[in-house]
Amino acid sequence: MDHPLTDLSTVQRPIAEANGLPNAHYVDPAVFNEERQAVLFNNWSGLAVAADVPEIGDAVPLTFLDMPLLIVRDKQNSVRVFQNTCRHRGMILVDTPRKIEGAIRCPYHSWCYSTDGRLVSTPHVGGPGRNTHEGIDRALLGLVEIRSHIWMDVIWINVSGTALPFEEANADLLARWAEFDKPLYHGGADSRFQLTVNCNWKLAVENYCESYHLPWVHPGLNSYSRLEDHYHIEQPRQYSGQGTLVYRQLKDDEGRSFPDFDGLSDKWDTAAEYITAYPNVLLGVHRDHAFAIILVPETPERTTENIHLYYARPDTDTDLRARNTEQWEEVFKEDVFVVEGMQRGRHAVAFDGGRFSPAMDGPTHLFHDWVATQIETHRATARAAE
Amino acid sequence: MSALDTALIAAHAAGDGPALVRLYTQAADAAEPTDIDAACFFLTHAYVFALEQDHPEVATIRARLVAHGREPGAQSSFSPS
Repeated sequence: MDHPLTDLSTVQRPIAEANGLPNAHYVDPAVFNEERQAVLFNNWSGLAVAADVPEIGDAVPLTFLDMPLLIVRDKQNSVRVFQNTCRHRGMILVDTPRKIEGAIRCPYHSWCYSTDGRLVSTPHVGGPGRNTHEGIDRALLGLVEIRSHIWMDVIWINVSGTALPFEEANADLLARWAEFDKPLYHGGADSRFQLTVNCNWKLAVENYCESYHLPWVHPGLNSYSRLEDHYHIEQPRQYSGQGTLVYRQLKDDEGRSFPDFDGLSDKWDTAAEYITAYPNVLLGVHRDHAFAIILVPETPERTTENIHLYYARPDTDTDLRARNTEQWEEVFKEDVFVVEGMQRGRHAVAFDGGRFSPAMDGPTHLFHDWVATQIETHRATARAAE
Repeated sequence: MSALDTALIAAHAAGDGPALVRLYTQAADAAEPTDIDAACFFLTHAYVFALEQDHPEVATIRARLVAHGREPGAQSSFSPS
């Protein structure tokens, strides 16, 4: 079996000696496909948010890395993720978001599935008007369910089924943010937006992880959030990001702010943290709101960012919410020229992955190191199987 | 073409689920005295559209198919909820 040959040895050196991932990891379709399995399918990737299916029976089809998936809130109020394909001839089951009143009926030969994935009807499978056949065991032909988990309202999926349980794989992050493990209320239609950027998904992660760029790319933050007010968040082989010590709440004209999450410790009076839950979810927490950015890799050089903002109460002020969304959208758009510029830079054939500031780029290097580790593990497994 | 055929085609075109359940059940009722296979064909269609809608007649239609040996009897194998 052939494997894309990229040398990752320099990536995994100590930061002062390390290079970033080679260009091929940003532009080569073969490496993109390798990372699809090694990095995204073999780990817990963010897919969507539970708020996308708020009511029982809600079904949303989507494509993740070319894979047709279906998110359903079943009759027991559990969010499930299935392959969006009939077990009969592989037909796409649901092609637009809709409410499932009873069963999911395949539009081709009308095999029907319950919202929890059981195959409940196989019309004419044994001939006209004969709906059973000894060769068709319905109990073995339910929808293929993708392993999933909800945390911070994000629907995380492990397509390979081989990752550690979510709570184990992310135990340190869950412990770090245990104070935010409480109901998060999606702000609704005004609190979600989408950006499509012409870059590999990893560049969005790399930029998000570090505060080094803030004074240059987000100069508006300098007035109250200076570079020295930020700290690195570094958990090798798990997650990384940055925090600030001077988070300032948004206030309306009467000086009112969003309500705080209950029970937060004093640290959060002025702190906020921004962490990438590897591989593809960018999370932010503050005393009064949180956000999740799910990076959906579309091609090696194009990524969709789905952004969702959450609050401590379901009834926050509409105008203030809109201002908060606008403020974050402006910040995230300020990053677009950077990630797209780095993407174009990956076509410079002599670029060697670049170097890292040993003082400022630790969180970004940790992400490179983690990606390299996932790929090396995947390659080693493939070689062992040959 | 019978009036029932015409009504069925219209119901399909309109995506009218309740009408599809009702009309296919009518077709089954008409066929049942003389042709069990034809009746079960129509009942199967009524059943599928009833399942899709969580229609109140789903259990009744299913019971008729079970009685003719066209659906398995175990309750747990059909409930869409």
